[in-house]
Amino acid sequence: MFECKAISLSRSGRQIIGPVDLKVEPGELLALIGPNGAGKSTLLALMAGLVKADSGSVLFRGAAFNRNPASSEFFARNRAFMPQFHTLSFDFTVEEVVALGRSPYHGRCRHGEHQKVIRRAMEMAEVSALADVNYTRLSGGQQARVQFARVIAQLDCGQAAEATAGKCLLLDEPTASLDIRHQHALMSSVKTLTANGLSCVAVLHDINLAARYADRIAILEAGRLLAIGTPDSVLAEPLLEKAFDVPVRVLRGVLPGQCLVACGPEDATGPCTTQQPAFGKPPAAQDTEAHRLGFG
Amino acid sequence: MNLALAMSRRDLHIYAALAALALSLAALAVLHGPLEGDVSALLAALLEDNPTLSQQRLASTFWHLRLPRVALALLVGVCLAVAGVTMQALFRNPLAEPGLTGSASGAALAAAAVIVFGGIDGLGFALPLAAFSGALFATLLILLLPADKGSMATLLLLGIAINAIAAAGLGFLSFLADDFALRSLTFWQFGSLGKASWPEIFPAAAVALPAISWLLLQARSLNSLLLGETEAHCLGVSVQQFKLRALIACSICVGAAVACAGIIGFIGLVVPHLLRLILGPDHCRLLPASALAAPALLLAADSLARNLVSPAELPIGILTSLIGGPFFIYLLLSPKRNAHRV
Repeated sequence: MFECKAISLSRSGRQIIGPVDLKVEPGELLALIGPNGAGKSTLLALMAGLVKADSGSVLFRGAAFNRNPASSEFFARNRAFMPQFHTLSFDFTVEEVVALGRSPYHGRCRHGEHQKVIRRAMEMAEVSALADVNYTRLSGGQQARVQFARVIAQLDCGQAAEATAGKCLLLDEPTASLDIRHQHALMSSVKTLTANGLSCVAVLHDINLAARYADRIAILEAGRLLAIGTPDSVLAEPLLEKAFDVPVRVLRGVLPGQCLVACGPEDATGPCTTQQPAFGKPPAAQDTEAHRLGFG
Repeated sequence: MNLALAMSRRDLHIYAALAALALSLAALAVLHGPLEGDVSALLAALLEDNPTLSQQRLASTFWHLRLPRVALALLVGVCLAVAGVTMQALFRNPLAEPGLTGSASGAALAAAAVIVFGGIDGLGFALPLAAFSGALFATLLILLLPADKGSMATLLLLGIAINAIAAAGLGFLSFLADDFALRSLTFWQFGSLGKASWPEIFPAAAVALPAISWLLLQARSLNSLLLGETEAHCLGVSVQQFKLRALIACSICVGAAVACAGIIGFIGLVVPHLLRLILGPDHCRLLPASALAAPALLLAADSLARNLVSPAELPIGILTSLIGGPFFIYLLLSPKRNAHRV
């Protein structure tokens, strides 16, 4: 549904992307991971139509982004992008910021529908309680959640549960400034949306978050895809060590249905000395290893 | 939450209050003046079939002095307010003012050249025409320079450079000017509605009204732009094209205002800022409210300008700053600031 065909991009003579081939299916959550400067944000910007690729094409439901108004409107209603940094510095209330996501639907929805969508998006991002608060006075994490609500509101066409089906959400490090609970809350919300047919591409730094929620993970290194596949297949020690240039241990069987990735120099000794049972289960053999890596 | 999804009762009250204020100030300005005769005398003069000489004088004052002056105040107020709101949104900075990209100083330079080399009187359209062209030229120059148009910071810096060059030119012209021209130049830079005449107002309105109307319809794009250019793009705004058009529309507004009334500072900067404190940053409310409030402030300032030192006249720019400044400080210091917006 969302397809990158051999896209590449260079800036001042340096190849920063590609060629990259990537396909995102409806209902899929694809996590993009990779070291700093690997081109994750640039790839996302290419997919969002913010940057034009030097060669290759980005197709969304078979259509490429172009600058005519009809195409802009179509994309505004069908793909939303949440950048890594937010620059809004005017005194909007939280509800008004979320309502800004509704502008592509101006004249297409009744007032009540807009209100319903905005409320739903705010509930999903857990910012309903902040509705009337001045956005500029929120913490960075709260602002990120408000922006998340805004991009959800941008995709919600206001009809039934499948309101975002067939649309695409691009998130650039959405969890970067969130606390642990809200990291999981946000990723769970994304999963709820993808379960209803939304496609999502999210740049994530927390490999374990990616492992837990993503349907597939793509590892980007120096602008190229190093690997792409299910978390189980991609999260392999040699691959991750090659990509991030740091010793990596992939621990399986610690958490049900998810592998854990621990990184860091092998000789590091963490401050934890007592062994904790992992999620109520008796310590398994791997736990010793986890503990040694500061995972106790 | 509003964003023009529906107009709340409170908004209606504010618009109505601002409109009533502007209208009553306009009525006061056309009905009252230093000339002898009260409202009933004026009405009698206007309705009289065979007016006496003094009635003719009164009627003529009404048609050719007071009415054009009020019309000019309305036009200039709307131009400066709408351009000010737009500039602040484009630069995502509430301190931006309409002349930020050099349009006001470009106009001033061109006008100064006419005043110094031609003398302010007897040139008819040369002065307003030069001022308008100067404003437009300065903005087009910035837009046509082969710089990175994507960056508002670059545009801002180019604007500063153009302003500096124009200021240098203005200084040089002042140096060349004789005493009479220097005085004209100084007063022109303070701004005045005193030169209002229909032959200047009609063409200025004809040029400015399309730009004003277009800008008034761009509230949603301006809102999206406040989020950031990336976000605005994703919300369906063709950012580069929109910025270009908006900047040109602003320079047309500023050019038209400056051409007819000289440089009237403060209005374009402070009226939007002030209303933002009351209404919030939503442009669906801010644009129309500013377009109503700025003429009101301008009319109030002009009434004072005409009456304070009558029969002489204070430059209006002094008064707009004198009224707006303290009120602005009051709003900034007020503990209730943003109270309704938490």
